[in-house]
Amino acid sequence: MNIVLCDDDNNALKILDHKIRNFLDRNKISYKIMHFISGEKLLHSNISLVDIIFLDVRLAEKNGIQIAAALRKRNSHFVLIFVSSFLEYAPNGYSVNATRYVLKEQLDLCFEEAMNSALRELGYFRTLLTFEFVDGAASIYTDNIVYIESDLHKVHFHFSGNHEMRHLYGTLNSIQRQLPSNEFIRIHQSFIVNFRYFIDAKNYCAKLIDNITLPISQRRAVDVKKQLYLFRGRI
Amino acid sequence: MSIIMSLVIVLIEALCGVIFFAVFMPRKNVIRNRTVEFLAEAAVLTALIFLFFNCIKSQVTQKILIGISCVLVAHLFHDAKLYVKVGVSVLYHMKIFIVDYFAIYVICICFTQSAEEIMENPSLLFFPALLSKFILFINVFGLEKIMSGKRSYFGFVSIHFWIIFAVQSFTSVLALISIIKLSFYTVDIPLIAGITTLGVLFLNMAVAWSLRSIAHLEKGTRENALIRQEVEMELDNIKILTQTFNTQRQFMHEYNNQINTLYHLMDSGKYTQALDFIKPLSEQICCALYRIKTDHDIIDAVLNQKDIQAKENGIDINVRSGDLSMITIPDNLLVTIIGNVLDNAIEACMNIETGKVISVKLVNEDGILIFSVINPVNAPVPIVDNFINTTKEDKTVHGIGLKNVALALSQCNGDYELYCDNHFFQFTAFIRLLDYWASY
Repeated sequence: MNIVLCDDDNNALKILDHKIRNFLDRNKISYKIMHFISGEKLLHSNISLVDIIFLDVRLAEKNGIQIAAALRKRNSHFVLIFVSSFLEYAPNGYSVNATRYVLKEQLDLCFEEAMNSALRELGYFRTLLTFEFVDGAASIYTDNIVYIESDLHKVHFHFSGNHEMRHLYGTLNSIQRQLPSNEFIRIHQSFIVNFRYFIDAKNYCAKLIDNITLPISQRRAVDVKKQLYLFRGRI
Repeated sequence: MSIIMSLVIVLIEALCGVIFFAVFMPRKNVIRNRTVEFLAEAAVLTALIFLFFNCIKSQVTQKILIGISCVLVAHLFHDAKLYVKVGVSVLYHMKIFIVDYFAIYVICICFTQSAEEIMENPSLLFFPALLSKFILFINVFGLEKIMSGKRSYFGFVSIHFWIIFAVQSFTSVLALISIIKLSFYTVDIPLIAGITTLGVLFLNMAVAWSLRSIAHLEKGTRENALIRQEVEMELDNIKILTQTFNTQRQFMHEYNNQINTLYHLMDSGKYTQALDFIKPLSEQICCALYRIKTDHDIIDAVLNQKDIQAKENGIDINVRSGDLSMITIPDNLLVTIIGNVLDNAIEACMNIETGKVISVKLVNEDGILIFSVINPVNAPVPIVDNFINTTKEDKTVHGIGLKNVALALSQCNGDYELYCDNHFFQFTAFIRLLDYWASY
């Protein structure tokens, strides 16, 4: 894992570096950390392989938000965490798709959660499952599945992005047993939905991304709503 | 005697009619005093029904004229379209018809009398008619409660009182049937039986009116509790404001000293030292003024106020938020929702020893404002019907915090869910900023 730290305060860099090393060592993740004391230098460096950037906001030349916006144009895949003493930039910080905006005074409190969130975004906690589809066996990451639909003996897998729908012969119950229960929920006898793409539940309807609407069965409605709120309410 | 009997029957029928009309049609408020208006409406209806009941011999003409009287009274005292007035009048007469036949059927079954025998004897008819009107009254009163639901003041009467009312209505019906049975033995109506029957009937009416009064009182108590809670919140705000002013005063004093130091450093040409002196100062200023910022003035004010309150009790609030400047939810609702939920979380944290951290999420995701608060707990909190019971002594004020949140959320297209395990309590509210469900 490649991590970049950018702060014009050497002392802050040292503290953050120590925390990151401590965390990654504990989680047995190999890493490489690069330090930058200037935003300009970071802008001129190669960030194509960078996974996480910890960026201070108030830097000498440009502010961190401007630097982050310029970096985002070159690479949209890195996880961005702002670490700052100044809170007034927080709302703008999230506008450049920052994962977290951590105050230096709250670093002890928020660091672990921010790192876990970053690892999750980088796919460290993904589940890979193998299914026997009609067109051949395939291993798929569960976080790519938007929802699964059963139609008599056929089970259709709907994926995110431009991936085509695939299907296999089986039952929704057997598929549900294989899926991680904290990631998926059965909303209907014929539908299993990934929480990640589940936006809202109301009037026995589930609203998913891309304006997909699915029915929620009456007997599951209360539990589905509760689980959805629990999932989306997590920090 | 028979005229008095029929007047009593008609009066009860008219009273039930007035209550029935009010369930379906709002009042015009032609008279300022509502009780006087109610009595006036009942008097007009009684007079018209009594007149047609006694003067018109043809059953069909009599029924039609009484129906027209109901529509006329509805037109005079209620605000609704004509077809609603006609519909409600017809519905009421159907109800009377069904209840009358039910009462006669009960009497026939209980005392092995034929319906013809009862109908032919005006003296015997009085008791089934009274029983019928009594059942009608209970029926209409129950209907009023069901139709008004929790929205009206009836929602404030506890189930305990409704059970008492139901039990005493049932025992009254039994008492009436017993009196009727006694009268059938004598094939005459003793005066004492008539008086007792009327007494039981008016007793029931009195209980019904008492329930209404209890409902009004309960409503008043709830409203008072709401005001008291608002006052408590205001007091908290004033305390926090006073504290902030004191802190500002201390800062002003500090800054005066620091400006003096700066002046002396610059005056003596020690510019590098002056620069080193300024930098930490500016950071201190920013951190001192506020710690939470969402670019929404009201949300920032509430969150920062609660943050100060939490800090005083050794509790940290970790907020994850974005730019909320575009949120247009009314300020009073935001204050109620965020303030009450954070108050509960702070209070829960005060009861634990370590790990006093409240996590708050306040983000706009896919057109939904998600407000979530997670706080540690010592033991699982029992959640019943998406509510938690207060553990405080003054239940009138403190039990309604979450109820107020629920009410405020319902007013801004939102709802919430609670979850609790052995370690954490989670409150999550969804406030739908885009009404994408309107088409469903």
